[in-house]
Formats: sequence, C-alpha cells, structure tokens
Amino acid sequence: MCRKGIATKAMGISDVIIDQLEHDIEEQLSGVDNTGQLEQFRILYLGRKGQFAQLFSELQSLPGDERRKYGARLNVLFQRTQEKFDGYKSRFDKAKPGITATAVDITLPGQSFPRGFPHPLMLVLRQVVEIFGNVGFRVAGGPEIETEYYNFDALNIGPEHPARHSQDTFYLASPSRLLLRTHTSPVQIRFMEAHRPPLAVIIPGRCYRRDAIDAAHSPMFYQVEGLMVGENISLAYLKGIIEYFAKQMFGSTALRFRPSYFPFTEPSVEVDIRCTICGGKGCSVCKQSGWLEVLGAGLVHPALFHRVQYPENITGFAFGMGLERIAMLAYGIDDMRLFYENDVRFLEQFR
Amino acid sequence: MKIPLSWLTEFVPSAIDRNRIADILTNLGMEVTAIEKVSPDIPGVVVGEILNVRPHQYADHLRVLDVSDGKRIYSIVCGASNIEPRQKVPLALENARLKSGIKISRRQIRGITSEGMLCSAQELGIGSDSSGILILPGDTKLGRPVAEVLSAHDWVFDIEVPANRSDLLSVTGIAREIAAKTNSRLNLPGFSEFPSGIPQGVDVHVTVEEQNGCRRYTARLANNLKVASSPQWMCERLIACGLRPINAVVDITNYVLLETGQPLHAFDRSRLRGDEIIVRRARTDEKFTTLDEQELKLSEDDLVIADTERAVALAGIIGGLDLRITESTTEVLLESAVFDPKWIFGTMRRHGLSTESSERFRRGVDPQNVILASTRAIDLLKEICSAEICQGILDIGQKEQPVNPLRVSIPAIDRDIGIAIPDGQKIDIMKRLGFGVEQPAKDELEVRIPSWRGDIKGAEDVSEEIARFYGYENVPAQIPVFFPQTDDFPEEKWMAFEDKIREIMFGFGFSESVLLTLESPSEYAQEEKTVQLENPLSERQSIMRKSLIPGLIRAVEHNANRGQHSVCLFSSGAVYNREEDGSVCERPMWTALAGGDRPGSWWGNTPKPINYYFMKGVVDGLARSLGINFSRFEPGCENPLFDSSVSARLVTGNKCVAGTLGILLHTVKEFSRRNINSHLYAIEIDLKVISKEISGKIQFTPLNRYPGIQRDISVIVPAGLTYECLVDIIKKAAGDGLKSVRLFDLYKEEKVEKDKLSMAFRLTWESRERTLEEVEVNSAVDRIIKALESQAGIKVRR
Repeated sequence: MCRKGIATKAMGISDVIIDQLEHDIEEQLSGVDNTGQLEQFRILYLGRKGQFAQLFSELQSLPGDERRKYGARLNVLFQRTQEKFDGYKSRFDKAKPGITATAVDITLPGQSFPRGFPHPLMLVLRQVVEIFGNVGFRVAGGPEIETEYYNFDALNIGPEHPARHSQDTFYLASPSRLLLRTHTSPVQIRFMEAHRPPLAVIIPGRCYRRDAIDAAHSPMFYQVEGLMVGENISLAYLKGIIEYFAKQMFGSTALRFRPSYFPFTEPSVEVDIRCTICGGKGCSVCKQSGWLEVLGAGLVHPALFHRVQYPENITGFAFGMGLERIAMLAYGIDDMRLFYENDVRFLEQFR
Repeated sequence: MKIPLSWLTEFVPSAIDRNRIADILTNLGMEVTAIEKVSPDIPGVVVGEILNVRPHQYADHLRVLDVSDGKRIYSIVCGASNIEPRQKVPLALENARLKSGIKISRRQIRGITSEGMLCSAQELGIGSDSSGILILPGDTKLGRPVAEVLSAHDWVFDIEVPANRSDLLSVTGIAREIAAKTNSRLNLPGFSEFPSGIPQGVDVHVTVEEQNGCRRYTARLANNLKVASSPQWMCERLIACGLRPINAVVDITNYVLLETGQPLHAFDRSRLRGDEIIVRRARTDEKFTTLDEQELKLSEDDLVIADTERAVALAGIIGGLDLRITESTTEVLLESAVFDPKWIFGTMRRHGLSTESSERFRRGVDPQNVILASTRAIDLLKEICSAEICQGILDIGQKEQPVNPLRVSIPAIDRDIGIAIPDGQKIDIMKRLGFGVEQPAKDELEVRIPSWRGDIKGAEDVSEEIARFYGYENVPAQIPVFFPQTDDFPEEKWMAFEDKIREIMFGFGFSESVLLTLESPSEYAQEEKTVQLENPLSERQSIMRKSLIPGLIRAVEHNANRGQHSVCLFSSGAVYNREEDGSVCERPMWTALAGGDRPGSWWGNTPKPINYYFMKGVVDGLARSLGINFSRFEPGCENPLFDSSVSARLVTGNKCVAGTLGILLHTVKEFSRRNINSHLYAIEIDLKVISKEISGKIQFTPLNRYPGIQRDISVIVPAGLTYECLVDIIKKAAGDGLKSVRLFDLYKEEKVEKDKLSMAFRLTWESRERTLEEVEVNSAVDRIIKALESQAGIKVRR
C-alpha cells in the first residue's frame, strides 16, 4: 500500500488541504483489497489519532466563520469516508452468499407504490376502439333502456319473432313496452337517423338477455357494434375490415366466414376464428369443431336504409361481437362469471 | 336438426364423406355443430374376459364359463361353440337390454345359475351374424360399455339451420342444398299419383271457419289398418333424429315430416263425433287435453281442429288425447294442412309449447308439400300397416299460388358482394338451387322463386344466395377507402374523460371493477324512483341499480370471503331512475369504494387503515389532476347510503352538488354477517356535473422571480371550529400577497385544554413585483393573530 500523503503534524486547514485529503482517501481506498489493508486505512484516517481526529481538533482554534465553513466540509467528507469504509468492511467480513456486499441491503423490497389494475373487459374495449379507430371508425353510443321500435321493429324483427318473447327479453314494469336492449344494434338506427352517409362507427355498450348467469351466460353483457355505410360498401370490404381487426386483436389466425341469418342484415355472415386453445385440433372449448364464433355480421338490410330515408345507392355493413367472448379468447378466461365478481386476484392479472 | 348420414346418402348418392358434407353444409350457412357416432342402444352390455371354460354337468351342448368384467367374476352358461379362455366378449349382465328388447336376468339353465349372457352380433343389433359370440379385439378395456367399443354403423349430423329457412328442417331440404353445391343428382323417394276428386264413400265433412289461421286443409282416409310397431329401419332413423318411435301410424307421420318438412297429423277416425272436421277458434276457457296428457285452457286466439263436440287437436302443434292412434285403431284420418305462422307462434307462446310440427309451421311450410307429404304417408300406411286407402282427398282452401317473379339488377349484386361474378355463373347457381332464371336485359335477371323458398323476398336475398354458393371464402378481402368524419363524437370525449379518471385512480391504488346492473330492491331503503323489471329472472335481479355502491359492496364481500380484506375499487356506469313524469333516465355515475388498509404499505411504512382523510385525499387528487375545483365540502349529505355524520357533499365552483364522500351507513352487524370487518368509505361522483366543470384550456403563468417569505403560526382551536373557517379568517386578515396557507401539523392538545386541537400553519407570502419586506409580512401576521383572537377567540402561539 502506498504511503503517499501521510499526515504531518499541524498541517493547517484550507480548501486545498481538504481537497488533497479527499483525493488521498479515494486513491488509498481503491488500492485496498484485504482486511489488513483496510485496517491500516482505518487507523490512518478514521482512528482516534487519525487525520480526521487531528483536523477536527485543529478546527477548534479557527475563528467562527472559518470553523463553520471548513467544519461542514470536513463533516461531509468524514461521513462519506466512514460509509465507504463500512461498505468495504462488510464486503470483506461477510463475503458469503446471501450476505450483503453493499452498504445497504440492495435486495430488500423497495417502497411499495400503490397501483390499481384495469378490468379486462374495459381493457379489451379500449383495444377494440383503438383498432377500429385506426381505420377511421369513430365511437357512438345509445341508451340501454330502449323501445320495441329500435330494438326490434326497425331491425326487421317482427312481432312473431321469438326473441321478443318475455322469456328472452327483459321488459320494464313501467312504462310498459320499454325494454332493456338485447343488442347494440338499435344504435345503428339511432345513429343513421342523426347522421348522413358516409359513416363508420363502433358502438360499445351493455346489453341484456334473460339468461341466468353461468360460465357462458350472463343477463347483462357487453357488445360492440360496428357500422360502415356509404356508396359501394360491399361484402368484400366487410371481410377486409374483419380480417384486419382479427389480426390486430388475436394475431395471425385463420378466419372462417360462414353464411348465416340475421333479420337486419342480408347477406349475413358469422365469423369464426381458429380455436385459440387447441389450434384447430378440436377441444372442449370449441366443442371439437376447431373454430370459435367471434362475431355476427352482414350487409345492412335495405329496409333499414329505407327506414332512415337514405338514398337507394347506399350500402353498408354492420357487425356485432360480445366483448366478454373477445376477452375470454384474448386472455384464456374460461368462465364469464369472473368478469362480474371483481376478485382482486383476477383483476391483478391485467395491466 | 339431426340427420343421419345414411339418409342423406340415400337422397344424394354421391354424399359419402361425412367430413366433406359437414364442411359443405357449414360453408353454406347450415353449421354442423357435431357429428355423432350412432351406436347400438344396448345398456348394460360390457366388455368381459373369459377366464375358463368348463363343461355343463347336465347338458352336453352347454358350457359354464367364468367371465370377468374387471371388477368381479360372473358364472355364465353359454351354448356357443366359438369360445375359448382369454377371449374378450360382450357380456350382458343382469338388467341389460338387447336390441330385440330382451331384458337379461339371472336364471337357471339346466340346473346351473347363469348370471348373464354373452352376445352375438345380431343380438347387439350390429349385424346379422348369429352363428356365434362376437369376439372383441384383445386389447379392449374390461368393463367398458360395448356400445362405446363397437365402431359406428352410422353417423348423425347436428345441423343448425338459419331461423328463416324452414325448408332446411327436412332431409329433403338439406339434401337439396348438398346436391346443388356438388352439382349432383337428387334421388328423392318415389310416390303414387296425387289423389284427385272427393273421396268415394266417405262421410266426413271438413269446414274451415277461420281461414286466416288455416290457408289449406286436406284430409285422406285409410281403413282396415293394423297398428303395429314400425319396422327397424324407420325406428332407427326416428331415433337418430331425436324422435321416439310410438306406433307405426304416428311414426309414419313423423317420418314424412322429417323427410319433407311438412307436418302431418293422424286421427283415429272412429272416435270422431259427428263426422265433421272443423277448423275454428277455440272457445274462451275451452279445455283441451294433449296427446301427452297436458291439460290446457284455451282462448279465442288459439286455433283448434274440432269435431262437432270438442277440440281434437291444437292446430299445427299437437294432437288431442281423445283421437290419438292406439293399437286398436283401424281407421285413420290423415291431416295435411297449412297453418298460419302468427297463430302457431301465439299459441306456442301462450302455452309454452314447442313441437316438431309447430317449429315448422311457425317458420312457414312449403305449400307444394301438402299433397306430396300426404301421398307419401298414405303410401307408407299401405305398405307398413296394410291400410286400405280411400281414393280422393278432402281439400279445403287455397291451392298453391304462383309467386311473382323477382327482378334483380345484376350490377347491384356485384356491388353488394364486391366482386363481379360472371353472369353465367350467377344464373347457374340460381338454377341449381331450383330458381327459374331469365335474363330479359343485359343488366337484369328475372328470378322465379321455388315454392319452398318463402324466405326470398328481395334482390338482397338473391345477392345472398349467389354469395353463399359462390363461397364467402372466395370473396376477396378489401380495405375500404378511409373517409374522415369531422362531426363531434361525444362518446369519444366521454371515454377520454373516463380514461383520465381511470389512470389517476390506478395511481392511487384503486382497481377497476365491472358490476351487474340488475339488483335486488332490498339493497335500497326507498322504493321510489326504482326502475323495475316486469319479468325478472329472480327477485335478486329485479330492479335496475340506483347506485354503484351496493354492487361495489358485493365485490368487497366477495373478496373478504376469500381472505382479502383490504380492497380499493372503483366503477363507472349508468344508474337508472324513474322520473316523476314516469319516464326513465340513465345517468352516468362514478363511484370508488375502499375498506381495510390503505394501499402501498411496506416495511418502511406500516399498514394504516383507510379513513375519511384518505378518501378526501383521493377526491382532492382527482380534482387536481382533472383541473376542477370542489369549492366546498358541505355537511348535510342526503344520500341514504352514507352516514351523514362522517360524510360530505361535494360542491363545485358553480355551486352544483357533484357527489358525496364519506363512510357508508351499514350497521356493524350487517357488515360482519357479510364478513366485512372494517368500515367502508365511498366517493360517489356525478360525472355529468363535473364534466361541465372541466376546462380543457391550460394557461401558463410566468414563474415568480421574487422570493417568498414564510411564517409558521400555531393555534389552539376550540372543538367545533372548522379548518375551513380558520383559513377563511387567516386569508381575509392577511390581505393581498398571501400565496398559500398550509396545515402542517395537527394534534389533540389534551395536556393544555381538553377537546381542543392544536393546528400549525405555514404561511407563504409572495409578490410578483418585488422582494417583500419583513416588516410587511410581520404586520400581516399581526393582523392575522388579532383577527383569530377577536373573531374566533383563538389563542395563537408564536
């Protein structure tokens, strides 16, 4: 160990001396690599007769102003040196696994900052809004308590349709014939009544059907409706938009477009994605079919355009999907009830 | 609808590969949800292993076997010669039933007890081989039901038929689609010549009183028939389709229904009173007993088939008990009719009935099938029941009406689909589907709709047919040209507003929750303004929520029951109220609820319980981040869910009440019953009110170049005097230049004087024009002290 900079008696205190001391300590410490050397360092600087002790005693003889000024500097330097020494000491003393080699236990848990978690349904809702927003769809909404006209009649769901049955649809006790909307589709009509084409909107919202709650049903659920209307909006565009959405939402996955029937679209389509669980081999989630239904869609039935007095040359497509279903597929959730229980252990898994 | 493969193959001989058929049907819009193996119905027959074979003491041709099913060993007497030890065989145990209907029991065979029997292929109903016991593969698992082990002899498709396609609720309809798609021959069963003229020597008269409900009613008569059980092939098909064989006559009507889609009904002619069939409205409260012995009380809106005395069938839905076909029936009146979907649906709904027949009439049947189905059934009655058929037919009402052809614009089809399919291909598709097609002009098709396609009403339906057969998979995916929409979209602003609140709350440690909006009226003390459901699933979900608090309490309870007692949640969504004028309103509401310990405790900061001031801090933080100002926290909270002694109303700068903050009023007893062991605090905010307070505009203020001066004062405050009141006095007395008043310490000064608080404030003065003089500040402090002493009698400690 180099012995340079060893103290002489009555060196006097000045900024230069303290600078020198700071520099020496730094240099000496960097050369320390065993307990013996560390002990020598201690005696030299921190010991009872060490340099700090000497300088602190010299401080007493200085006039008030200087004493305060140098005292403060010396104190800071002394404390820093002591901390560094402690750090080295613990490193040499306890250089065993699981024992701290630093001046603080860097492994202790840090301060816990509170953080709440988003609900998966709301998280997926935002994703859906963003995905469609990126291709020009704006967000619209409408009431949950609806009239029979908007929920059924305006959508070609005639008085004989079983969906209107009080077995499937919740009606209000008063005023009578108001109901809890069974889908977000009534907003198609409401929006078209208030806006002229071209238009492209998505409509998220709560819907209600008279199903007892179980793993796959709930009397209240969320739907997202989509509507794009203009000149020459075709089935090919519907496919393009749905393929774009599915790719953004689920990644590259096979899609299947199946003919179907809804009273308010013609042609009607049902869209399946490859089962996210089994990859198409067949499992209990996809009921061995390898496909999972994600949304219903189609070209808007001309009667709807007629009702909102759009010109003859206007066409458009609409689609609707269950948000719970999308969230279940996106996160691998197997029971719909989890969404409404708000179990903290469930919520904590989303961010 | 369930249809066996064998039946489809009979109608479309080229349709053999079940997976290919399933794909074709699904891609045509008839989703095949399952393909199930048809196995013999042989309950109680399991796989057994022969352990040893001994001769029978008293009979040379019999042997006694020890057979194991893996659980125990049975002693079986057997006459077959093809058996040896270590063979796996079908073992019918006590109570097993064989294909022939034989039920197995323990019995003595020539003096030795047999605990069951071994079976041949014929006995299992899987073949005709009865020469010996069916030997199963050596690796078959012991004890398994044999029905599971045997390979299927047929497959059944479970097909979901679109709600508007009644024609697809028949084997013929499904086969027609397959034949059209694969361009193959449709091989439908033949039938006799259609009957014509009034039946000779028939004394029954038909009257249709209610023509709106019954467009056409036909009846034929068969005599001298024998009602036995149906042949095996018919039973098998009925079972495969999910129907239960009953007797040959009933089974024939069901079989023809499945085959053609036309419901038929057979009455026992001999029990018809007054030789008359009347199609009429039911009388008010008329009693009617169905085939399956349900007692119904009918109304005038129900349509019945009656004789002169009583209703004998609920038209198009179900027959009556009185005229049902029994084994002693010898004369049958066979009804084939067209009933109106509205009538059928109304009756189904009123009486909660749904039958194979009503499901088809409800959707509308093919009018051309009326005579065809009747003729087919008569042929089968002749063949199976040896019936003598009366020539001629009773036929009342409208005959088939020609449907006007549809004119369809070819460019509109291309526009809808988004691809120009060659005209020839369009025409080909429509023709294969049974449409008549002409092309009167270059841009136009004239389409004649086949009788079974009642669903085709407009040009858009023709587009769908062409798209469907062309294949959705062959339609290219295209991205439409983006068009900007510059209107205001309030929902987007609202969502952005809610998102901002969500982010702030996440930072405070609150998680988002989604709540059901259907609740029990018992959650609320008052009944007024409640939006009630007419037809709730249960009392517990019979009203629309009036607040988010009950739902959030349920969430806390759910977590408490799982050991998580510290919960901070918020939720956002509508609450529903009935207005005084009877109308119903949805109002957006936002609520946070917390109980237990504050979030963010760690070893450097031991857990502290949530209290009023924690929640007030949340409100303050929320307001600050949103840039709104709750100018006052006022007492006198009126929300019945809060304890008004520890609650405040939030009043905005515009003097609107924006919500409530405080402790929830629930008796300790009720919470402990619900396993909630701490007070719950809530913040309820009417989002509409505060959204109006937010000004999105941010105006920068230049930073002050002059230093401020601080003074601390400490005061002893008598009980009852509020912080807000003190600050008001301080601010008024200080005059201009007092930049901030911050409370930095507060404690109960028990030692000095009881019930008094000690509060310490740090006051900061600043000027934007100059450096303030100490003297100015000192005199302001003097004024403050004087004001506090004179106006509130407060002692100030320097």
